[in-house]
Amino acid sequence: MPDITDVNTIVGPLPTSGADLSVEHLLELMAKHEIGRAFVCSTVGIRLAHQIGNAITRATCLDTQVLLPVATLNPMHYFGDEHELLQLREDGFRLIRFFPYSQSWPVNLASFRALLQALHSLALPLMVQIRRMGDCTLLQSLLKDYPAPIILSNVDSSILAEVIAVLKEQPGWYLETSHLLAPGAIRLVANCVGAERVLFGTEAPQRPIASVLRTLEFAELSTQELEMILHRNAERIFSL
Amino acid sequence: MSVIDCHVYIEGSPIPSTNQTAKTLAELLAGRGIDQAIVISTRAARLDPLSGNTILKNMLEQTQGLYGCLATHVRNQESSINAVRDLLGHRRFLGVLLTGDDPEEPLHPLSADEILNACRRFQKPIYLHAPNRLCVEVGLELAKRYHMHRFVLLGMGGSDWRAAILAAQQASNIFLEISGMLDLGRIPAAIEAVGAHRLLFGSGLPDLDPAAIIGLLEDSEISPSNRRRILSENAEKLFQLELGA
Repeated sequence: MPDITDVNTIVGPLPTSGADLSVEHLLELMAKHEIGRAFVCSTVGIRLAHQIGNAITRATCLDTQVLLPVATLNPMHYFGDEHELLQLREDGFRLIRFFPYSQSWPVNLASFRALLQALHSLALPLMVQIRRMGDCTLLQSLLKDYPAPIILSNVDSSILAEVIAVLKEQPGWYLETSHLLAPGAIRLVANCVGAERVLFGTEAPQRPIASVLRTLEFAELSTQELEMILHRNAERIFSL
Repeated sequence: MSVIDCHVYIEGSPIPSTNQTAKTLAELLAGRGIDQAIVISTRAARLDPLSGNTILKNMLEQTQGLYGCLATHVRNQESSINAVRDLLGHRRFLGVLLTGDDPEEPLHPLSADEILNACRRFQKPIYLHAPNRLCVEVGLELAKRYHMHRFVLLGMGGSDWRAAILAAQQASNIFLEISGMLDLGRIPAAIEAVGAHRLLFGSGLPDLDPAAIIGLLEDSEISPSNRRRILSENAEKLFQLELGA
């Protein structure tokens, strides 16, 4: 099996978690489940300051080939510094993540809109946490013409109807699997928009990789669909 | 090894072909190696306890391996108490769920009195939704007040799982059902604090695939004997279940 690619891992201190969120634990879980690559960001960027978090992520990924750096940006800390954004590409970040739910800001926040406009020229893929009903619809109005892939993270079955409706209208949008753990949910997404729109993500090491793998095992997917989700789609989107 | 899922719903999923009938539910569970399950009627919990639980009873009688948890509603006391009186003595009903309009909202402890009193003579475990700290606190209060009942906290407090563990430490008649937040530190912490004998395997299907909770146990650092207790032995004891009965 070629490298399974996990598009959603997060390391660093997090007092609300009981799990070991160290890089070592992530690598241990990846080895156990034969995950070849993981896109990783830092809790420091989510909970404290994205500049510090991104610096930590960059340093972490220099030490190992299997971790790919993901930047986080917090629109509540954005005051129009475009140079900082341009630097992200030069620093080797492959993806930029947003956490409206964890950071308690609404998706229609003006500074988020400004940040997205500034990111347009950079054309890096974005991953946005979607947990509240209506957020995906709002996001569509902001990112309809964004020139790179958009990945929706943390989507569960309670908002799946809305998300699938948006995915049908936005061919360059994708869904990762970390919270898509209701029986039949992944099959439903594959039926509605195709397995080529689903990416394997786990939110390890806080959450178990095995939960997503076991759910996929029972998702009634063909070998070809499974391969797309586990690695092919990520390889295509990120030119791995 | 037998596996018993203590927390499953029939009907109410937005996703087709998962839990709409007892047959599809039983097939889904069997496919994941789950021998037995305790099923709650979403219809009874959201609409009418008496008719919903009666429909569930008829479904259970025709399906091997499925048992019922009788759903009662604190805002629909008459129908709930009728359901307790008419159906709880049935051998396929192994517990009672006490719920309100929104599982995320804590019950008012006083609103539960009449139903809990009606349940006394049956001595079957009482299920409570416990997706957050406030619901856990109500569960603890009820567990202390009704020490003759055993309480199962569904979802183990969600992201407030530490509060659920503390509640189980304070009341020995509280059991923790492990669906809810998929945090790898949660199960080992609960075992250390209250022992594996107080934990029950449950998924909350259709919100979560039971395979995801089995995956949580697979990646958590727990011994094979503790895993066996959680997956089946504790439920066999609490519900006096025997495989194939």
